[in-house]
Order: sequence, then C-alpha cells, then structure tokens
Amino acid sequence: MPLRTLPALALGLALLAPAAADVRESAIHAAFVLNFARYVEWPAGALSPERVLDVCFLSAAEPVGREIAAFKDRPVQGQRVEVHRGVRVADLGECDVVYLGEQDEYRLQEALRALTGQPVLTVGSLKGFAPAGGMIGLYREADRVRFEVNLDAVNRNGLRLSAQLLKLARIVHSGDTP
Amino acid sequence: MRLAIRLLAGLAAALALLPAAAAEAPLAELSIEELLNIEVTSVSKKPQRLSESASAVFVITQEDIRRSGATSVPELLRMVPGANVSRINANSWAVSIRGFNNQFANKLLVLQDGRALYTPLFAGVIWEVQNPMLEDVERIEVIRGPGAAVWGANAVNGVINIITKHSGDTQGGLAVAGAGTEERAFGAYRQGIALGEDRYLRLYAKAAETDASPRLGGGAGADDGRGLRAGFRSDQAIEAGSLTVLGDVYRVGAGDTFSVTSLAPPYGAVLREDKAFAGAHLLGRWQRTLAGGDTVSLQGYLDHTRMESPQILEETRNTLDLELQHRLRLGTSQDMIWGLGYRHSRDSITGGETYQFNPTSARTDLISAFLQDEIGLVPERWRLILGARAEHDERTGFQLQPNARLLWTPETGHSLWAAVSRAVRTPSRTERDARVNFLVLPPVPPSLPATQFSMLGNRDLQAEKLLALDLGYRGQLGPRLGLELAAFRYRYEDVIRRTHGTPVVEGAHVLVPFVWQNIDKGETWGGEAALDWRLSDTARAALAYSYLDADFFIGDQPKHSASLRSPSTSRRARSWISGSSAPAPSRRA
Repeated sequence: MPLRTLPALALGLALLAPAAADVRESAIHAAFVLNFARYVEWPAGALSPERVLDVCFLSAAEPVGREIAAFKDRPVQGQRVEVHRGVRVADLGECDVVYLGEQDEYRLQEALRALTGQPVLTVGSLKGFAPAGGMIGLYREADRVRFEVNLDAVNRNGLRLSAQLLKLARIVHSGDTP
Repeated sequence: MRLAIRLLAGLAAALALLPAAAAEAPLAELSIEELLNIEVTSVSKKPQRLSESASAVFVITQEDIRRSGATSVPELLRMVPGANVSRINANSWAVSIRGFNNQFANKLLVLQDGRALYTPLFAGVIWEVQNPMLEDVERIEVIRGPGAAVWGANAVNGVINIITKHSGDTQGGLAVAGAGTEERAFGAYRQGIALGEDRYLRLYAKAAETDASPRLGGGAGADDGRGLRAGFRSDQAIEAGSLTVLGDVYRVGAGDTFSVTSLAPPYGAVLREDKAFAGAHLLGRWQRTLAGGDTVSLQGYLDHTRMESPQILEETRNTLDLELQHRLRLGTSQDMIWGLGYRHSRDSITGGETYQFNPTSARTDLISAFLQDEIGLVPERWRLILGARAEHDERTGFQLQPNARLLWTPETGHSLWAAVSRAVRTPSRTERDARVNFLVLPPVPPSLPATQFSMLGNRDLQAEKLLALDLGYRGQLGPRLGLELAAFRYRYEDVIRRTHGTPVVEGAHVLVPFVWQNIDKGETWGGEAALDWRLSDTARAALAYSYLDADFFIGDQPKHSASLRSPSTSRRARSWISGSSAPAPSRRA
C-alpha cells in the first residue's frame, strides 16, 4: 500500500525546503523591466502628459506583476510608475510597457499582433519571445538572467533603445530560430 | 479511507508551516550591469510547456474560441486533428479521440479546472451538461494518446483539459447574447470584481435554449434543449502562493426518446421524455512555492449531480476528490512531480421496468499515487520522461499504468519523440450492475410465452487494457510554417463487448440474455498531420489530416478526415472546410 510511505514522504518534503533567503527570478525580471524603461526613448507624445508610466501585465496571476509593486515607488524618466494587471488584449495599446510571461503562452501571438505599430515597449520571458516579434526577451544562462533585443521590432514601433543598453544585449531578428 | 484523509490533511499542515520563499533583495537599487550578475536561486517551476512535450498535443486558445463562432465545447473540438466529433442531434454529441466514437464513448478523460467531467455511470461524458461560458475559457488542451500515468484510469485514448481564466483576467462586465433559428436564444453575463490588491472574484450566469430538429415525417423531434447555469471563481494571492475557489450550479433539460419494454401488454413502446440534469460543485486549490522554487498544491472538490427521467432512470451521485501534488527539481537535470489522490463516489439509482440497477446504491473509494520524473540526458537535446501511476479500488483492484517517453531535439526548432504507455479503462456502473430489458416479444398463444431480451451487467468484469506506442515530430519549417506529425499503434485487450448467453425460462417468460464480457482484443493504428501556415500577420491557414484504421470494431468514425481552417484575424473573412470519408456514427442501441 502506498499509504504507508506517506509520512516518510511528508518528512522528506519538509527537509527539502531550506530556509535561506531566495533570489527569485520573477523579482529580477521585475527589476529589469523598470530598468529597461530608463533606456527607452518613446516617440514624442507617446507618454501620457500626466507623467505616468503605465506598466501592464496581461495576466493578473503573473508573479512579475506582483513583484514590481516593490519597485514602483522610484520614478522612471521622471514619470510615476503605475502597474496594471489583468489588462485585456484590446487595451494593451494604452500601456507604455507590457510584460508577457509564462502565463501568456497562448495569448502571445494575439497580444503582439495587437501591439503592432504601437509605441509600447514589450518585455517577455517566454522562449523565443524576441524572435516572435517581442522587443526584449529575458532568458537564463546558467544562473544569470540575460536579455536579447529584436531591433526590427523596436524600430518598427517607433521606439529607440540607448546604445548603452544594446551593448549588454544579444541582438536577434524576427523569425530567428529561438 | 479516513486514514488517507487524515494523512493528506497532516501533510498539508506540515507544508503550510514550511518557510516560504521570502526576503526582498534590494534589487530596485541595482543597475542593469549589476542585475546581469545576480545569481538566481529560485526559479519557480513551470509546468512543462505543451509545445515542448513528448506527446501529441493541440491547444485551442481563447482567440481560436472567439474566432470559431462555436457555441459549445464539442463544436470547438472539431478543429482538433485526431478528435472524432459528431453531432447526434440538436442536443447531444459524440466525442472521442482516435476511434471508438459514440454517445457513450468511454476511453477519453475530460477535466475542467482539475475536476473530472467523467461519469462512472457509463464511463463517459454527458456533453449536454458540460457547457461553460466560453468567453471565460482560457484554453482547451487536447492530448491524444494515453495520459494515464499522470491523469489516471480512463485517460486511455486521450485527455481533454478545459481551463478557465484566472479571475483577475476577467475584470469588469461582459454580456453575450444571441438568437437564431436553431440556437434559439442564448445569453450570458459575467462580472469580475477586484476585491483587494491580489484578490479577484468573477460571477457569471448563462442561459441557452436550443430548438428541436424537424422530423422527416413532420413535427418536431425530441432533441430540444435548455440550460441555466451560474457560478463563480475567486483567486487570491497568499504568502508565496495562491488560493483558488470555484463553483457552479446548473439545471439542464434535454428532450429524448426511450424504448421501454414490459412483460405485460403493450410489451414495448417509444416514450418521449425529457432528461433533467441538475448539479453543483465546489472546488478549492491551494498552491505554494517552497524555498528553492519547488511547488506544492493541494486540491479538493465536492461534486453533486442528479439525472432524472422519471419513467426511465434517476441517478444521484456525490463525489469527493482530494489531490496533492509536489513538483521538485532533483539536481540540475531532473524535474520530478509526484502526487497522491483519493476519490470517493457514492450513487443512488432508481430504475424502472426497462432499466434496473442492483445494487441501487454503490460507493467507490479510489486511492492513487503517481510519480513522473523528467530527466535531461543531454541538455537541450535528449530528454527522458519516466512515470507511473498506481490506483486501487475495491471493485477493479490494483492497476499500474506506467509510461516512458523520449524526446530528441536534434536542432532547435525540430523535435522527435516516442512513447510507450499502458492505460486502463475501468468498467462502468452500467456494465457491472445494470439490467436493461431492451426488447420484449409478445407471447404467441397458445404455446409461446413472452420473450425478453436483456443486457446484463457483469460483476466479474476486468479493466480494459491498452498498450500504446506513440511517435511524433514537431518542427518549425520556416518562420511562418509549423508542422506536426503523430503516429500511433495501439493494442487493446480485454475490451468489453456484448455477448450472447443461453436463453432460460425466467418465471412465465423466456429470457434471452446478453452479457458484457472482456472478450475482445485488437489493434488500431493511424496518425495525424497538421500544418500551420501564418500567411501574414493577420491571415493563417491550418491544414490537418487524420487517418485511423483497426483490425477490430472501433465504431463508425471516418478512416480519413481532413480539414482546412483559415481563421483570419482581420475579422473580415473566415473559412473552415472539412470533410471525411465516412458518415457520422449512429447512436448506440
């Protein structure tokens, strides 16, 4: 009977969890998202005149959206950061920055299509995000987070990224195999 | 079984006390250069992406749902290669995967948000009842081939997973209304509410009425339908995890005709009577990320269903289901998931002269445990997945359902996979305990008594077994062209079929018995090819072809079927052509 092994499994489980403080990938992604926004030049008039930078998440359950709340007090390019979670695809065009994560796998194409030609910075963590038409894709190399930039996508939407940022990025193109 | 519940509860309590992933690092202060040098110590476990799994998978996304114009789940499933979907009449459907299709198709497991939609009464799905608000469905995953090692018994030919949206993603109000000549009227309203920083609630109600089909000889058929349902889903973030609670209540009516028999005149008649379904369920799921990124989830649900056809059959069923899952990383190359489950189901069935159940009330207690380990043999190139599920219930005994899968990615964008699995389908309540007196021939005086033909349940039935070999290829042929191929060869044993018994004298009449027995076996083989071509940013063409053949009887679905779907995203044009080589299956007697 598998029942008899249960207490042993429970004990094993308890031992598996070390108490050390973790550096969560989602927290690093959140820090990256706001940092990227410091190196982006939006076309004139694209940012709201109320000096608010709207950072949007498609999925309300996206952990990065939850993490970013801890960072949003620092203004970005003089703009106050406002976080919106659970934004409908049709409303993504109203945002300045959109983050698309693991939860959005099945809405990614639709979201990117909705943002075609819009001056909205897209950051994503799904594999192949940048080659699929996203602007900045976050990926992991060993235990470090890296990023790649699809310049065609950036330029097509009228944004400009600073050379300082591009220097640190891997450059990819639309349609590259991820 | 109380022991199992107590242990599960104890385990849950122990897990709740574990230190959660915590402590804010001062990441906000860091520059990009510094962030690039931070070492990640906790990566939350992501469920295996279906697009990278070693099985044949098709996902119907919310966008597909919206653009399809479909008003029901079976209608949506028509776009899935390898799925056999037939509309029997205006209110009932036959759905299966890779053969064996009829209204009571029994080799497919269907789940909605982790709750089994499968009824043990006939080991299938009552599609008339399963009608979620499609606007709130996030996606429908269809896995062709056995999924028993993870999902359990009855995931023989496939698994369908209906997943509704997180309630945070359905904020605000949404009204849907429509009317037509066949779908006479349908409407739904949903309201999403943000209750707090990380707490959301969604409420919805939906009603629909379907017209009866005209009969050939004039008049209306008995296939009209009407349904009313309401429900909610709430999601909230709790420390290092989430809590989801959802529930539904419904009432559905569906017209039908039944053949009834009696040993006294008139001996046989066709009765027109509505089936009335009513039910409610409540599900809770608690998930927590442990230090290091491992995740634990505990889910439980209560499900109450009632089916009423006063002159034919009434069934009431209550189910309690508990499930614990733990996902962890072992070393650098192994991703493991294990779980324990317990399901209690108790029914009460009242028959009439035609349908009789003995015993009229039955309970089953199913205990299960599963383990799946995904091993990266060569990083990014070879992956081996080993898994097995053990299940036990008193009536069918112990079942072991293992599988082994191998995934090879020779280069990025192309992968090949192979799998060997064993799955079982447990006998239904009807096959075990029912007596269906389906025909009575009147007596012929003076010498011949009445003759009753009956389908008899068999308590010695064993589970049906499947040994399956699956192969597949998934590739990106170009930036805009994707191809998926799948092939299978399945060997079934102990397949339950109707057999003739020897006529006996029973009281004043002669009984011609038919008995369910594990007597059939055979093989099926076939495959599917699906080409997905993104013609432009807004236009897409999806071409699919399925082939299915067998050396024994597997129902009436087509051998060849093909479809071309062009879900244009421009909203101006949309087309969908499909064809198959054989007629739709007929309803089983």
